[in-house]
Amino acid sequence: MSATDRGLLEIFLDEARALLPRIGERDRSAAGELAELASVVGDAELVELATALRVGLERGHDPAPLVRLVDGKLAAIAAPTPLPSTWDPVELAEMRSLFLVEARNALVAIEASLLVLAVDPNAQEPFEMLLRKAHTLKGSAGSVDLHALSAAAHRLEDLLGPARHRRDASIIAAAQAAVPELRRLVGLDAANVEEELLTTPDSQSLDALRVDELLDAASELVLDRTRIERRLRSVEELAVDASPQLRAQLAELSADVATLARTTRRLGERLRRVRAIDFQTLVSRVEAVVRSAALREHKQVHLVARGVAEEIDQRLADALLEPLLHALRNAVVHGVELPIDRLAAGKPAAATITLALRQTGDGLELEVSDDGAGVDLAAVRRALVVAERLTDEEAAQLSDRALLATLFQPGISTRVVTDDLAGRGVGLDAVADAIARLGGDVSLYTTWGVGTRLTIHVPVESRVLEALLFKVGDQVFAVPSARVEEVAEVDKDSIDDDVAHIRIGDEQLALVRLGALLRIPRPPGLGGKRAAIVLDSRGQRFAVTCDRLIGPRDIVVRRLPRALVGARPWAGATISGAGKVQLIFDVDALAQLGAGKLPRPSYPTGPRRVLVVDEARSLREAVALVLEHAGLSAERAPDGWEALERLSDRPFDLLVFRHEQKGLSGPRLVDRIRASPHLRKLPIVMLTDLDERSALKLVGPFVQAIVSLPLRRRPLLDAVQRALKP
Amino acid sequence: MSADRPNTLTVEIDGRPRRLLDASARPLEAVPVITPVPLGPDSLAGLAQVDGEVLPVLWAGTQRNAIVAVLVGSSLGRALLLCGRVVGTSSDATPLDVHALLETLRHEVRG
Repeated sequence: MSATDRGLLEIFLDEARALLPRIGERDRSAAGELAELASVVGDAELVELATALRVGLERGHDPAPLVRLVDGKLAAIAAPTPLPSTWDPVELAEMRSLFLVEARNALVAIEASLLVLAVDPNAQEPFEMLLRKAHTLKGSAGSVDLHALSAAAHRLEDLLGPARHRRDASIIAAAQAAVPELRRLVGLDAANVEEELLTTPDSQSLDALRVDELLDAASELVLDRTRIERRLRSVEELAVDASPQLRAQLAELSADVATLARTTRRLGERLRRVRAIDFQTLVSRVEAVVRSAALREHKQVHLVARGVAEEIDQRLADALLEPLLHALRNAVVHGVELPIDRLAAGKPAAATITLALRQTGDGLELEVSDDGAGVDLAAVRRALVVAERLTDEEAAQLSDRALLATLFQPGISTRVVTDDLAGRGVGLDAVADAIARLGGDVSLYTTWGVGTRLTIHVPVESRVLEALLFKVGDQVFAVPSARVEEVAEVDKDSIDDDVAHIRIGDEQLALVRLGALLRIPRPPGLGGKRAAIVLDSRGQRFAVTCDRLIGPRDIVVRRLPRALVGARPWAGATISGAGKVQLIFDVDALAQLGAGKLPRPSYPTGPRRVLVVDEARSLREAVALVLEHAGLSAERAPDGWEALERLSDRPFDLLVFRHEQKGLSGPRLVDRIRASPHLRKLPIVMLTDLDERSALKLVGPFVQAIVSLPLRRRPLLDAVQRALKP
Repeated sequence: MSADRPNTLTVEIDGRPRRLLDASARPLEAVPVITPVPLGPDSLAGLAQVDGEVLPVLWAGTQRNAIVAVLVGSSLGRALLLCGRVVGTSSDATPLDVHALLETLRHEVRG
């Protein structure tokens, strides 16, 4: 700050302090004057406080609590020296030791980015990395009372911030000049823990590396065992007529393989436990940061942790620490309101921030939610315009969902004033970036006045998982066994086609027909029995039908390729003994998709599907071939009853049937379809030996098009095109 | 070929030669077994396993009659690209940005 600035600030402070006794005596005009003064010096928080005071006085509220807050704020402005430490010495030493690992990594990233920028000052990716790391260093150092380091990082960020879109070599040179000071401060401010820092992480990482190698070997062992099991089953099939001695040997071999399966499973579990910590350990690392940020922001926050007994991989916990700290600071700074505002909104003065961990079978779901004010979408629109990302008109047209997504972009912040905790738009983008590097995904949900929820999903790579394998059509899928509650063989009569429920025992469960959901054609030759798998999603039981159960297997979970992270309803993949990829369901996403709570992906999913029904094979085939040549996918059914069964089992875009046929005749088939809630909107083309006028009298209002026989290609295609039109 | 164009693989897509903007692109000896991804975008043929890694398999054009799988890479990871045939390693053919294909896939998947 220049001498002139400092002089102006002192004048402001004198005038502001002189107003406080008048405000204490309920002088509303004094509160108004304070707001004006605060806006002159550009302190948005003080403007807010003064405005709240004026409004409170107008409503007859006691100004004393807010006057105390203003007084504290003025004191902080007057002496931007560190606030008194909120730590006990042991706690502080522990937090600093954790922070300094983070700081060392940040410095490495800063120096690496600067090396690239020295060659190409306009390289954007390293510049964003540089800015993020400076921001991280600033916030984290401030949180553990390393104020000189925080201020140095703040200065670096100040230097870089205006150069985000345009810069030259002089900016990069100035940034490079700041690095030695940062390095020195890391050492100076942490002299008491430096030695520990420089030795412990290395030895930890060596241990972790060894455990990694052992875990990889254990995973390969599972793959080898799977291959042996598969070959053993083939040999057993071939040896049905073999000698009793050979069959006895095979039985013993089979028992040995089963023992091997138990041993490999135990080995994998024990190795994973070596590297696991409980979630509480991670929570303990961040608790104090939340407390510190709340104090600085003059807010009251309770941190509630859920799932503290869940285990988490040590290295994953380390990688999650930085994004988690960003998310929590964001919740405190942006999400939670000042106590006075919360009270005015009918909420308790203290906000609750909930940090929850859940194992999802394929990975971890980490949730940071607050009961604060929610995201001010109008402020996001303004921020986008201020950052020159959008024009006013474009910002106005952006949907709420798209607006929230912009908060993950670099440089977007709704905070008016920047400080050592937030305001430069380097918060959520840092979270998204760190999580993407872990192959994960971040989502943000908000309700104005109610709160905000940030959900982080991180896959766990190369984990051995016990899964239930089954087939839909010819494709094999897996669900984590931990989510399977029951497996039942059900008669198709127990499936209620109209209301998507299934009765298993005495229980009526919501049903997801996987064939229909995934649009996989039904394999030929299925009888009246179906396999139903009862799954648990967040305490809710629901059932899925499949075409054939394969059984439980140990599988090695592979994460989905980066370009497919977030594809629903998939949690990951595995590789079969034969080298084929098999998909693993995300059970919660499956439950939501099945219940219609998540929209089905809307991109094209292949050709339109038509069911062709006629008892005469020649006509059925002729119609199907004409349609297939026109780029449609045609399935055949020999009569109305099978047509109904197929229609309830798989989705179709169109039904083509012949009016005159045995069994379920044309009009009765149409009646059944139009009476079904699922099928009543299905377009229908009717083929008939009747002339068009007679046919119209019979079923005219209920079908989209009528085609008179004998079959001709063009009229059929025209009718199909008409019927398929939206 | 102009001097600033590196020798990169040129393949046939929808009957036209396209130069892959990926210096590491190489054709596989055989198209591996492809597992469809239900509810996936139309451009995604499925997933396949190459050297123990699960990779996305993409249709590069609109025609679905590919006979060659080309291993490509970008900052979004490796992928297989299905195309008609390998034309050569140097040409002035229209370039095809592999990274852009993967980026489009990522956006489609995330909605």
